[in-house]
Amino acid sequence: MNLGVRGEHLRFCYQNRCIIEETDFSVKPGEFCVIVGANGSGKSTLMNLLCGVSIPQEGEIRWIDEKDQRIDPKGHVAYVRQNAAAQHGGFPATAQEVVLSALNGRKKWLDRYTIEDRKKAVDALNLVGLPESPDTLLSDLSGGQIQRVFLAQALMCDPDAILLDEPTSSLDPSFSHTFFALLKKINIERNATIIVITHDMGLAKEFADTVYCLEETSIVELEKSQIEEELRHKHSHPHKEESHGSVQL
Amino acid sequence: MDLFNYEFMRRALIVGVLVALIVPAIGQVLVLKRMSMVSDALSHVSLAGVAFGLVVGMNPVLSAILACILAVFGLDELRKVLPEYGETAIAVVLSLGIGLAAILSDFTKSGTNFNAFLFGSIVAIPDDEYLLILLGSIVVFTVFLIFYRSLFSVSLDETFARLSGVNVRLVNMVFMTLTALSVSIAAKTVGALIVSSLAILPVLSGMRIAKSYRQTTVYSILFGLFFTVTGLILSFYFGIKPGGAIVLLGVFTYLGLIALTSGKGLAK
Repeated sequence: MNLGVRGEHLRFCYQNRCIIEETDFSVKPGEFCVIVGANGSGKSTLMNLLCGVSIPQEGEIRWIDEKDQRIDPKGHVAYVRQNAAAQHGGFPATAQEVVLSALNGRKKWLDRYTIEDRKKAVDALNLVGLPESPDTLLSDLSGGQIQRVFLAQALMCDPDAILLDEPTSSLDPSFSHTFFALLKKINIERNATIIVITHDMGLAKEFADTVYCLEETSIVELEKSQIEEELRHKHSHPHKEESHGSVQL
Repeated sequence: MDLFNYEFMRRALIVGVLVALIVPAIGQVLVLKRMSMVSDALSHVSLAGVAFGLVVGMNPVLSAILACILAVFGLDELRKVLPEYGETAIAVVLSLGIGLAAILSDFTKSGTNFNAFLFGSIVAIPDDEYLLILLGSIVVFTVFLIFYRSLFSVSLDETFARLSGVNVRLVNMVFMTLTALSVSIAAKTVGALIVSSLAILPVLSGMRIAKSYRQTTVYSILFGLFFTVTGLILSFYFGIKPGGAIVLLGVFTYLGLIALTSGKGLAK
């Protein structure tokens, strides 16, 4: 199934500050969508809304199939969190245990993992390019390798859509490019919708079908010319963190 | 060994083994969910429950269980009110527990009985408490095994777990109830003030040498068994409080493991 998402008349405020107000946006089934925005603009809040961790105070987020039918995201949408290496680097589990855990929601209480499950987990780890043994502890892997393990975990669910919150923020730029190329491959070969938050406008330009920017409580779709303008601005002011469009590059 | 000639010691060892099975098992999830201090708060509440039971003539283990279950859900509600300072909710519950325990202990008929719950005791465990501990331990360990994989998912990442179909709310409720039960059950033998150490030290020791999540569970329980049984034996022969012996064994073992595996980093 192809899965898209639509947010209508969204409003989400913390006690002292509104992050999103009267905002619409949509991601079509099968799209590769990148969300950019300055620090504190509410990118992670938007991700929480998409995951269902937070509920908008007004409006609603609807996951939909190609026929515009509402779909419960549980079991269809996978999530890769920000800074997985920092958050989970010390978690005492092997790469294979982490990937297999994606099946826990589908297994009955005392069901065991089958040989097919284990083979599928190894295949997922191979697909994301983890050369180490599946029995390697997370703490023995590098940050980039841990990020790959969590992408393999997401793939293990056979998701129709994958949400990624700054998956390469703490990793070196060359790895970021490799990781995004991998996401694009998954997007095309598995027809999975990808929604990813990043600061890197260059990656957004190269890989995304749609780029949204969070600025001043709105979610604005950026045209190609705006993305190129942002990139030009970055190259002419390489030390400036934020451009005039408030997009951090 | 002549300690097995004594009925009270046989009971203490059986209860010790059960406690060493359930507390580190629950402790592993507490450590990985970064909720280690919850066991400390609950142990203080269990003391208030014990004191209440002794005052009104109720089975103190049962009253401790009820107090801990109330506290664990109160803690959850308090966290919702204080989302940005969630850990302060633990301090509030801990303070409530120790405050109530201090006041209620003045009204207990037998100070000695109350003190047994502070640092543990190997003196005779009455039949009703013994049966309650046996039954409670079996229930906790069985439910822990049933929820083992879901607890892994929820400890690793609640958002991913929810989206992949795990009933996170149910798993968290069950886990908090198991934590409340384990702390209350352990209070008599190990001592309420020492339960949180038994929940954490075997897990930290297990994490130093384990090569997988499953191994961490097994090693945590084995370390828990080693600390508890050895602590009880030392308590019998040297007349020291079992809780103190168990915790010091745990601390020195963990420090020894750090020294032996120092190349792996403290937090591993």
